[in-house]
Amino acid sequence: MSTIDQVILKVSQVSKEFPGVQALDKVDLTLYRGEVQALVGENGAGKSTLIKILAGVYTKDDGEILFEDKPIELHSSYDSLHLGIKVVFQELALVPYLSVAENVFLESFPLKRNRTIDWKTLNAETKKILTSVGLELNPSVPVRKLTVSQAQMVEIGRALSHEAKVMIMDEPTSALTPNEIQSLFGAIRRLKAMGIGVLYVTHKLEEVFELCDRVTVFRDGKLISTRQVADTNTDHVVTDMVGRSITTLFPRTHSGRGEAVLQVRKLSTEKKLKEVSFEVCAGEVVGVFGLLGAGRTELAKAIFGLDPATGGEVSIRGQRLRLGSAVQSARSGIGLLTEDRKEEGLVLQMSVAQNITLPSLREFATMGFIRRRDELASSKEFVDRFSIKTPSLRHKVEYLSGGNQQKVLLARWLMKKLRVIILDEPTRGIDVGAKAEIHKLIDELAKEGLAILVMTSEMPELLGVSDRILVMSAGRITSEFDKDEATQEKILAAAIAGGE
Amino acid sequence: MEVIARPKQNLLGKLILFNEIMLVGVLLILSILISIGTSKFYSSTNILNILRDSSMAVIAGIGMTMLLITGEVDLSIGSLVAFVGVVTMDITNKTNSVFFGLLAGLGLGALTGLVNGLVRTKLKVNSLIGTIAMMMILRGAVYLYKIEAIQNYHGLDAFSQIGNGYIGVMPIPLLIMIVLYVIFLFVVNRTVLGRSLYAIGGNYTAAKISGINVDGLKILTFVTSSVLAAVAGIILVSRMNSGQPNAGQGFELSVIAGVILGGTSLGGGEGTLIGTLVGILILRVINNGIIILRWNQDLQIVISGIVIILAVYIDSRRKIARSKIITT
Amino acid sequence: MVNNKTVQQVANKPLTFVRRLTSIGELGLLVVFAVLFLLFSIASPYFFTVRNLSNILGQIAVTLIAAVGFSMLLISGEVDISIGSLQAVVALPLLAIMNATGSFWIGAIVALAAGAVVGVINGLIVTRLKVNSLITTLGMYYLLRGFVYLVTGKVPISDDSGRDLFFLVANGKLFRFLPYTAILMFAILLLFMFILRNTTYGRRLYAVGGNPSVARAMGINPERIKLSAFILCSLLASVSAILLASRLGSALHTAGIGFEFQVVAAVVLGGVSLAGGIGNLLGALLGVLILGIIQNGLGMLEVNTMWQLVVTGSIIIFAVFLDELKKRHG
Repeated sequence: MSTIDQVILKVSQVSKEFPGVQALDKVDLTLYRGEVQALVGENGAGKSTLIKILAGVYTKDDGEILFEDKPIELHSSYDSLHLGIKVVFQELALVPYLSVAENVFLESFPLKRNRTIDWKTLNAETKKILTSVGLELNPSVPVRKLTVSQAQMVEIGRALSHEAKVMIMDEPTSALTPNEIQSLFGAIRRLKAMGIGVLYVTHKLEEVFELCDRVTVFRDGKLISTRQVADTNTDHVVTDMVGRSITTLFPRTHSGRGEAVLQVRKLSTEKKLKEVSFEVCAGEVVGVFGLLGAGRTELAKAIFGLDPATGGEVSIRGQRLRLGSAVQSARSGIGLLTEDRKEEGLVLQMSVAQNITLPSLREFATMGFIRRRDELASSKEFVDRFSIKTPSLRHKVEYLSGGNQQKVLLARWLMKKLRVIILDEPTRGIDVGAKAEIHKLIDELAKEGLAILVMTSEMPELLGVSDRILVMSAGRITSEFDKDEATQEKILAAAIAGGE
Repeated sequence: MEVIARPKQNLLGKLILFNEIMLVGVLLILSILISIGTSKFYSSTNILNILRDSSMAVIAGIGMTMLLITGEVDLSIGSLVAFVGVVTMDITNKTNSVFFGLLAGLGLGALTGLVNGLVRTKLKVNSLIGTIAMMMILRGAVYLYKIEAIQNYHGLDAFSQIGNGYIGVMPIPLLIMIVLYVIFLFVVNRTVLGRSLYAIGGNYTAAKISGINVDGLKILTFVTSSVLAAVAGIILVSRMNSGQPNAGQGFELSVIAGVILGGTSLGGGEGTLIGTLVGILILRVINNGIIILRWNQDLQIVISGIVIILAVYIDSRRKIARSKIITT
Repeated sequence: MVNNKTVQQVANKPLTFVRRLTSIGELGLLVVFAVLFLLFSIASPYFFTVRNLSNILGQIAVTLIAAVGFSMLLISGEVDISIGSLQAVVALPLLAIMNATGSFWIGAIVALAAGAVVGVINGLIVTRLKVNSLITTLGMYYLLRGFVYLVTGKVPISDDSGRDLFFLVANGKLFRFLPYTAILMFAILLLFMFILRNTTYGRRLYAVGGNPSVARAMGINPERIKLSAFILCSLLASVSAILLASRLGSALHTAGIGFEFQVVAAVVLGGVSLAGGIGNLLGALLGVLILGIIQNGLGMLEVNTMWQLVVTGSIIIFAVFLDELKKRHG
């Protein structure tokens, strides 16, 4: 561990305003060489804005940024990269059809004397860089064939080859397995040893306490606190983030069970699932845990019929569903909240009301014509009930924050009077406050007698919300735990065990 | 960071955001300018002529708009117009009945739409390529069917009335256009079906999950578009009183030009029939103006080209202004 | 964990020649081509003759040269559907100058320059005014065609200078069997295949089409690259136009109608994606070849030319269908 004494980056009184919102309000942040500093905060706290300013994507309105004690102006992503500030976003900055080597040297290829690309040098140099971040890979592989974890490492390697001095990582672990996360941490620790300052933005507080030296909390665009990790704990941090102390994040009040509503028997798919069988009863919340690649999302999609199945059956209250027909599932009373709400859940160009009523249109229609007033009235009920923050029902849903968008999706399914609902990562990328609200909603749904299946990779959420826990690995269900007997260790062990 | 955004609500901004109003404004300005240039423009005969000549494009434009809303396109309608014309004339001649001729023409349209729809949904072929291929197939097919023009053999009056007749002062094609337009205006804006089209184009998966029969509706939209194009083809063959195998060249592009001018997005999920109507009318008025101002007729296509580029430029400026407000 | 290991195993295997071909996707096209070639050779005795094969090469030259430029533009993420109208436009200065000065070369140079100018205009509208390229070039499609009609009064401009060179360009053959156009076509193809594969510029085309924001972050100027791609596309389409004019012996106001669709079909058939960032010139070549031998083969069999259209259209659908299948299950 190198000495943490030199300031490499100093953000001073930086502000940024967008129409109607003060995104950053005179924030300060200091990053030392060789330190790993966590930046946490709810959605809307300003973390993303700050990072984008540092990446050159936005320009600050006020304030000063000092890099190696010199004031800098960042007008483009090219500027920041060249100074030595590298930001690794969730959407990886790689060209999918080019090879790893071509991506690493995209800015300037090694050339032969006749100005053509020197492939030998290109591949050899790339191999060196990959090894330095601990990645064993053929440099001529096209990037689209890599896993998320490998691609991330390539980006880090590339930044190193550009002599980055500051590395900023934005929610880097959302798509990684625990092993991959450890590899990433290993790479980050290596960066630390090289004297690079790392700013680590995350929602996962357990990572902060495992990896980081200091933790900075933003709230509502302001800097709230910066502390040594050793001097603080999760509760303090959460309190700073939220501004109020949260006693229970996951109020699960109801745990009665009705009869089996959703029955899955020997469900198999071509690529992943292998004879999955289980049941969910009315009023029950079944949590499904698994590492990346275990098949949770595949299971959700196969049950719903979004993806085809090769065998098995799914029944709702004894009625067999036709596999692979999403339309039929929707009409049989199942709802699906997909992992990726923007790509697969919301119709961004439509309004809040239109999104909420989308599956229920027939109930608002006479002879095919939509009764708009009824539609708006019903939507209003849900917007009020869920406290969805929107200027109006006609507001386009693309302008809403992530948490509110998720609520819109939940409202959509509730309006439909379902029997079964499948939630795939319902609180991913959502701040603590909104998370608690959504968990409360799940609880209410269970009270109303719905059978609920929740796929989640967040252990605390899994343990808090579920009545029963199923653990998946490599397309199979390997274990089942009741709420009382489940512990993080047992679950994780079950998730890894089925694998090899 | 995610913020709730409110688009700037100043008056000018509001006006420009209202695409249709601006288009109507353009239409009015154009009409006024042309009227200044010549008195022949602002006469009921001329205006009726313009409307009647637009009817084919508007009818086909209805279908094209619906298709674009769902995120698809159909470039085969030009060849279809020719094929339908030839077949309609031929069957009318052979059966001595306008009714059967019409049935054959519309049936051909429906069949083509069905094939286009299936190629898109079952074979998963991109609709741009798929309908380009269909355009080639149909064009080849029409020449294989009949290499030269087919005349109205029996001189059936009812046949030529469709395209050339009047009910009172109203040209029949215009009447057909108005009826179809009003029907589809309701369907697209007020029904579950219409809303579903926007959903499919806006987010295919979301629509599917919501229980919308996405593939079925896409096929239906293809069929609708082709049947409407067939109607246009029937009007054309009736006006010319003969089925020409080389008809309809470039028709698809002129319809698309009008639809895009009217604000429908190539990406799907957006677009209105009103915009399409005004867009097509603008292009027609321009063409008409050129003719009665006695300018060189070939200017028509030149100006169409410029107008299209200008329109989309303005539209993209608008989109950029809007998107500056969203931050995620 | 299982996943990681598997992917890494795959990633670490050296890419053998066959795997390279299949992973690129051209193997399928090669097979289709070979099958068609075989079928036509069996069906008609005149097909597999030196004379006919050289004819095929001559016939596809116009399409292929334009397809090279079009592919590069498509890879960079943009499209130009005005190349058909360009065929007619470019022939104008060529014939006019040839008739006036008697010099083919001056006419050709001016013609190429005119084409390049159109490319610049297209490129600027797309990159500076940020107008969607499909629409821009759709507008240009109309504009240019209308311009040709206006200027020529819909009357073809014939070659009054009677220059041998002009005639020879499209119709001459080396050693009496290898058309000059074919030589030119291969030269252009090989040159640009090399550029695309082995130069920074070539790789950047892919970057700009595949992920423009990343390209920008790497210091690449997507606008400049796209502008250059537009110019290249128009320039090569102008070369095609000169060849076409030579073959027709005149500047025809209807030249090139439908040309853009042929090129799009051939190129997409060859695996160059409409989305950008994907595909290569080998695929484009195969696409053009396949469509070319269909046209030629059907002609040999004395099949009504209109069947060509029907067959070509059907093959395109079939090929793209196969391609989609491969993408889903590959």
